[in-house]
Amino acid sequence: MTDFLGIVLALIVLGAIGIPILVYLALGLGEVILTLVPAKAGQKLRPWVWLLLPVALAATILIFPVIVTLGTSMMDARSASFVGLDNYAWAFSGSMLGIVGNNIVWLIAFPIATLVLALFAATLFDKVRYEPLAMTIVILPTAISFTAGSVIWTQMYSFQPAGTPQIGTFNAFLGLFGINPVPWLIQPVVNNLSLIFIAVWLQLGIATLILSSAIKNVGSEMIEAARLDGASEWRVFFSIILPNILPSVLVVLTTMIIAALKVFDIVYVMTNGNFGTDVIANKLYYELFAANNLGHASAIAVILLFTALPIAFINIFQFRSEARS
Amino acid sequence: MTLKMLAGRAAYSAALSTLLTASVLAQDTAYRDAAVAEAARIAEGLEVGGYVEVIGQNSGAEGQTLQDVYAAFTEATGIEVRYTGTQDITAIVQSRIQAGNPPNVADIQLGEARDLAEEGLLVDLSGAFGGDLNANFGAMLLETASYDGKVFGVYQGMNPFMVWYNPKAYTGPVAPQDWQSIVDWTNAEAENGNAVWCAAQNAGAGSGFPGAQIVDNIFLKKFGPELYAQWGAGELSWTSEEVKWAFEEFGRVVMQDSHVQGGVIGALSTPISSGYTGLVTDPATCQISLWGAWVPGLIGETAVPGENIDFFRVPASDPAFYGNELFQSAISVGFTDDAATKAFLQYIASTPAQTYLASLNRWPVANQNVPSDAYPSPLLQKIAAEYLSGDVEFAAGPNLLNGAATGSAYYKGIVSYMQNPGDLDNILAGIEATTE
Repeated sequence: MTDFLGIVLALIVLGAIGIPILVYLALGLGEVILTLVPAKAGQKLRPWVWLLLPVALAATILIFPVIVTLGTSMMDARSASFVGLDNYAWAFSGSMLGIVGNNIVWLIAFPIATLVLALFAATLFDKVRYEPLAMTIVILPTAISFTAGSVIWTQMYSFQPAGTPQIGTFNAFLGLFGINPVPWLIQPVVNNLSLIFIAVWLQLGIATLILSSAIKNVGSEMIEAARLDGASEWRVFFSIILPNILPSVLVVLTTMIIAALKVFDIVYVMTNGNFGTDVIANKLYYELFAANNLGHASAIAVILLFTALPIAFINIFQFRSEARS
Repeated sequence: MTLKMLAGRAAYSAALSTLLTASVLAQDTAYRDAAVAEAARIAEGLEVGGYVEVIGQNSGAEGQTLQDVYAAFTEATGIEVRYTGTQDITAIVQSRIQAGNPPNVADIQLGEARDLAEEGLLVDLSGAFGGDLNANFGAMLLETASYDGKVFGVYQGMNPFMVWYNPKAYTGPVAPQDWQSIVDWTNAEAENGNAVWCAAQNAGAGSGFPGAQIVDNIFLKKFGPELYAQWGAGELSWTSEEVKWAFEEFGRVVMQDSHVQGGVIGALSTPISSGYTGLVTDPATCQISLWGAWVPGLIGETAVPGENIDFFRVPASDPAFYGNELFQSAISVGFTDDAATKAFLQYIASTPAQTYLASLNRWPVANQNVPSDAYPSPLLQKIAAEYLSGDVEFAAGPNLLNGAATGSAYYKGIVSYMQNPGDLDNILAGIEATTE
C-alpha cells in the first residue's frame, strides 16, 4: 500500500528541484553538442535545442491527448471497436439537440450581457470620484469560485411552494409585494437565464476591469475636443470611446464566448442538467464518468475543441496586436 | 400531592433514568467491544498498520456512524480506515478506476458493482470468507452480490420501502393491502383540497431518485418479482406497456398538483433533506409518503416513533404480490486484492460489526443474524421484525440492478416526466437507449 503523503512529497521534490535540474542539464548537454557542429549550423540549431523541451512538453500534455481523443471519438463506449462517425452523429441528434441549443443560448446571452453591463459599468465608473470603491464592489465576486458562487445562488434562488415561507432571497422579496414565488431553476427559459445570470455576476468584474483600463487609455484631448464641438455624451461614447476600445471589447467578447462554451460548474452544482438546462460540458462529464462511454465523451470533447479553437486564435491574435500597439 | 411526594417521585425518576441510561451505555459498549474483538479475530496474523481507503455515499451524521463502526476495526487491527463520503461517488470511483488508482473499498450501487465485477475489477470474496457470508446473509442478497458464482461485495445497510404516515394526522386506511384504497383516498382528499403526498425529489445530481423508487414499488406490486427482475436485467424493455403503466400510475396517483405537497413544481424543487418534515409538523402539511426506512432519520428529532410517525407495508395492485418487497442498499466492494482490504470487508460483513452498526440507530442492517433488539429505535425494531424475519420475499429490479448510465437516465427521466408527462414515450425510449 503506497503512502499518499509520501507520493505528494516526492512529487513536490521532483517538481520544484528535479525538473529545473533536468532542464539545466538538458540545455547544457544541448550546448555541448552545439560546440561539436560547425558554428553556422550551430547558430541555426540553437533555437531548436532550446525549444526542444517546451515542444516535447506541449506535445506530451496537449497534442498527444488530442490525438488520442480523436481516436477514441471514433471508437465505441469501451474503445473496443471502430464505429466511424457514429459518435458525432449521436452528438447532433436526439436529446443532444436540446443541449446544443442550451449552449447556443449561453453563447449569445452570456457574452452580450457581460459585455453590455461591463461597458456600462466601466464608462460610468470612469466619471465618478469613488471609482475604486465601485470597481472593488463589482470585482469582488471574481474572487469566488464558480462552485462556491453556485452554492450561494442556490440559496438565492431557493423556491418553496406558494403559501409556505420563502427562504430564497428573490422569492422572499417577491413575497413582500404579494407576488407568487418563481421556481427559478425549474421553469423552462427562466432557469437557463437564471444560470447565465450567475456567470455574468461572476465574470462582470474582470470584464469591467479590462474595459475600464482601455477607456482610460483613450486620449482625453480627443474627448475634450468632441465635447467642445458640442457632441453629446452618447455621441462621445459611440463615436470616440467605443471605436478606440474595440480591441479590448473583442478580447472580452472572445474570452466570454470561450467561458460560455466550456461552462460546467454552475450547471453541475445547481441543476446537474435537469429541467432542460444541460450543457455540452456537463454532458461530457456525465458520459465519461457516469455513463462510462468514452466514445461519446471524446466526440463531445473534439466538438468543443474545434468550436473553441477559432475563437481562441482570434483572442490570441487580438492580444498580440494590442501588445504591438 | 405534597411537595415531599413530588420530590420523591422526581428522585425516583432521576434514579430510574440514570439506571436506564447506564444500562443503554453499557449495552452500547458491549456491542462495540464485541465488534473490536471480532476485528481482532479476523486480523489475527495480519501485519498491523497501513490503511484502507473507503469511499462511500454517506456523509455528515450518517457518515460518522459508519466511521464509528470502522474505528472499532482500527482499534483492533491498527489498520487505519480513511473514509470519504460523497454524493458524487459514481463519478469519483469511475475516474479513479480510469486513472488506475481505485480506492481499496467503495460502497456503490449494486448495478455499477455488477458491471465492475463483469470487467473483473473486483476482489472475489467467496474464497476469502465465503463461509461467513453464507451464514450472515440471505440467499437473495448473496445472489444479487454474486457474479459468475463468486461473491464480489457485502451489504452493510438494507432499507426496505414502506408507506410512512403520521398517526395523529392521517385520515386514510391504515395498513391496507390494496393499493386502490390508497388511490381512492388520495383522490377523495384532493377533491377536498388536501394534497396528501410528500414526495420531494431535489437531490442535487441524483434528483428524481425518490420518484424512481416509487415507480419501482408500483411496478413490483402490480407485476411481481419475475417481471421486475426482467426489467432490472434489461430483458423487459423500458418502453414496454408494463413500465409505461408504472410511470403513469406514479403520475396519476402521486405527481398531480392536487395530490402532492407544493404541487409538482414544489416536489421537484424541494430538497429531500427537508421535504418530508411536513409529515410531522403541527399541523401536518402532508399525510403519507412512500419511501425508504431512512425517512424518520431524515426528518430528525421531531419525528417521534409511534406518536407522529409510523409505517405500513406498501399495498399491492395485485394481491398476489403484497409479500414482495424491494430494498435499497449500496454494496461494499474491494478493488485491491490485499489482506487488509479483505479483512476490512470481512469485518463489516460480520455479525458483531453489523450489530454495533444497528445499535447506532441509523438504518436496518443486512446481516440476518443481528437481533432486532439491537436497534434502540422501536421503529427500526418493527422494520427488522416485519421485513427481515417475516414472510417478506425481497426482489431486485432496476433500483438495485441499473448500471450507472441507466440509473442516471432513470432519475433524469423521472424529473422530465414530472415536467412533461406527455413526453413519456420519448423519455422511456431515452432510458432504454442507455441499456444498449
